[in-house]
Amino acid sequence: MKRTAAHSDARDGVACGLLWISPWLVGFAVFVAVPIVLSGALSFCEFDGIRRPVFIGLEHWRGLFADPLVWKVLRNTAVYAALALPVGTVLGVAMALLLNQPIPGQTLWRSVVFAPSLLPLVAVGIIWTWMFNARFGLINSALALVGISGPTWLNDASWAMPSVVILGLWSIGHTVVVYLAGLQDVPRELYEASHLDGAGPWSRLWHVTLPMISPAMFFNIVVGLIFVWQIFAAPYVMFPGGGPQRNAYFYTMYVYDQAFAYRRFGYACALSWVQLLIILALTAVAFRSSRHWVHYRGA
Amino acid sequence: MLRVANWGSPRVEEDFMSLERQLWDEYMRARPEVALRIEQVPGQGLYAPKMIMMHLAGSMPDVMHLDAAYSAVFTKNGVVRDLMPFIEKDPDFRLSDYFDSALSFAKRDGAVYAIPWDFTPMVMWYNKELFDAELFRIPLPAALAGSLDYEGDDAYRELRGRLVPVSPELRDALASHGIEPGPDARLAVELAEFDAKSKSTVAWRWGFTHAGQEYTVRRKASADGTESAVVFRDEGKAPYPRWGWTWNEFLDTCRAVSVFPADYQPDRDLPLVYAVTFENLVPFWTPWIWTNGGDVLNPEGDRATGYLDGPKSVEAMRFLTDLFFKFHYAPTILERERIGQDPFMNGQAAMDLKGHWMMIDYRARRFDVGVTTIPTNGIPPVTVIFPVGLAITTKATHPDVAWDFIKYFTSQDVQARRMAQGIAVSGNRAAAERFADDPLEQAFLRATEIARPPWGVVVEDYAFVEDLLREMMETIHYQRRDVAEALRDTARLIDAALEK
Repeated sequence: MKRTAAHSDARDGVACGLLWISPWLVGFAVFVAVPIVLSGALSFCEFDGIRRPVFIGLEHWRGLFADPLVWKVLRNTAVYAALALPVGTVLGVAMALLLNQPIPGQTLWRSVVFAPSLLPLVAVGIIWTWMFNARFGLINSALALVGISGPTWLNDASWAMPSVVILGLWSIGHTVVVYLAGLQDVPRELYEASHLDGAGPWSRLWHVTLPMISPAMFFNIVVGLIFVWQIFAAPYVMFPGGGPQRNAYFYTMYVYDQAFAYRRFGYACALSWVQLLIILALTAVAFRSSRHWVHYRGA
Repeated sequence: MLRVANWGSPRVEEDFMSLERQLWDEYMRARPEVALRIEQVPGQGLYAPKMIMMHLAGSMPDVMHLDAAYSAVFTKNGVVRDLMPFIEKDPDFRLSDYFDSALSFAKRDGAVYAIPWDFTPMVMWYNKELFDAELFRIPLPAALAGSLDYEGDDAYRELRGRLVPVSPELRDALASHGIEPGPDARLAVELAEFDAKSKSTVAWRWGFTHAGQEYTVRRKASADGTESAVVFRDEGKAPYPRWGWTWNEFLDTCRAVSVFPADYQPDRDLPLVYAVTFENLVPFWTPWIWTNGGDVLNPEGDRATGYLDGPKSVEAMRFLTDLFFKFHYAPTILERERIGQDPFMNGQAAMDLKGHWMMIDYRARRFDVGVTTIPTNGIPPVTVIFPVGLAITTKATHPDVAWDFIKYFTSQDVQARRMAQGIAVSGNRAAAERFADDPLEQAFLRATEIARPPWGVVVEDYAFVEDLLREMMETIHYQRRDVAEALRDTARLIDAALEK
């Protein structure tokens, strides 16, 4: 009798929970799940947005491996991820460590670091187009003050990628906030104990701080990984058409162009699925590796 | 409710947008029964894709702008309606009121898919000041500083040609240079710029003739705010380009108007004044191929090999690339970035290949400009025309109201008011001809007679072709690829894309 009542309570609980999250569930189903399924189906079709979709089997899937631009955008995106993610992580942690110090105007500095990440990405792209202007831009003007003749950032094939990486650092504020929260959660007694054991500042950073904020780092890395593989808005504004020799042409930009500029929606869907699989695989690798370097308190 | 997808963005000149809003308001006052909803859609290549998405989503507006450069996809796939049934039953409407060159892109198999709104042919703009030789400048004489206020087009027309006496200071300065205008000489006002905010004339240009030579006096402000009267000998460096000039004449002009530093080294220095500017926008440079009788595609628009890589096209592209790499008359893509701004607008280039829309900026900067054809090599002058029409979508819920809207906004009076802002030439012949006494507008009207539509009128996937051409130009600039090789490889890629 008791068991039946418990089951009934559990059922009611589940039903109640589902009811509470039903607005999200409906939104997820309509705006995420159904489009994902439809895009999978469309990846096997020729569809230009005007005529009816025509089933063509695996043609798009075969075609994308033979498409040289796919390899180009994959390479660009991988290089960007390989540069932006580690640089962003190191800089984010360093910035958080600095902002965690009891310095005058601490709140102001934190706001200064966080504020740029609130700007819309398109606006950021436009701002940085001017910042990188070879003649009148702030960056080259600053370099000129120390006697360096700055490059033509946006039209030099070798400087296109570094300029996107630098642009990415503009909005590290939200990762800094996560690191700061992690830092403030590190128990003081651990620092006191390590100090008594004779540990210096570097040793405390390496053996106490970083392990203790490793869950925050893991969160930022996974979110960052997904973000860098989807980079789109700012480079799309700064490098219309992908920049010099398409060196700033990223995967999502190519998907967008295929769908909306060339109306090859079926092909764009196949490309999107490849992107999804790559991100899933990389996220899985990140999760698997986390066992070796992420430390949860009490675990 | 009548939904109209308007092509434009807030970036467009404030004055122009306020006129557009005024026209919409007037239409709504004249048709109180119509609820007009204007939906602003950004330009810069995004308008057509957005319209296709709206078509796909079933949220198409009643009226859309049909841009010739992307029209094939709309006219070939039943996205816009044939307007002939509306035209045939409307006794007040005559297709002959519109320029054929602005209408032809919208005609297909006896159907008419759009009524011309406005258009621009691409022309060669030139900055007269860089063709003239500066003789001397004197502080602006008080007698010349007096404003020549005017308001409205008619007042401006009356002002132009008005004679004013030569001031004593200017007369003395001219005499010291051996120019004696004579006791009764007058300066003729050739151009004046009126600032609506300050309600005064802020710039002017006066012209006079002495011993058969034309001279221009320009009002110039220096950085410290002082103003001068500057006297130029017209065409003192090079003659203004004639209509229908040739490649050889163009090269002679380039030699005369470009200015290089004393010990110019191409790898180190930038020219002080380029002869002509360049940017890697495909619609802006493909007319160069036409000027030698070459083309990008075959007449059917389904093949590039034999055309893009044909001898005429190769020769034209070599001519164009020589302007960057051999003569340094035009900036490379990298040099352009180093300059940081549009060299023509900056006074660092004497010529530029653009359309009518630049008139707004040139007027605002009080540029003394002229317009001529793109130089050709052994063939009559030719250029590309970019018309835009108003079309009714097949999914329009109020097609009759939409037709009324199109008639109203393509009418002579409304079009004349739009055209006064300078953004484009009106598709309405009578409206455009109201401005024909302006030499610049006259040149644009003349250019329509030699213009042909862009390939996007025929080829649905021309955006893809343009991307391949843009990339080809980049490889020529960055890798110094051989022109013939680059054209051959690109032609093959285009063929493969068009076959798909």
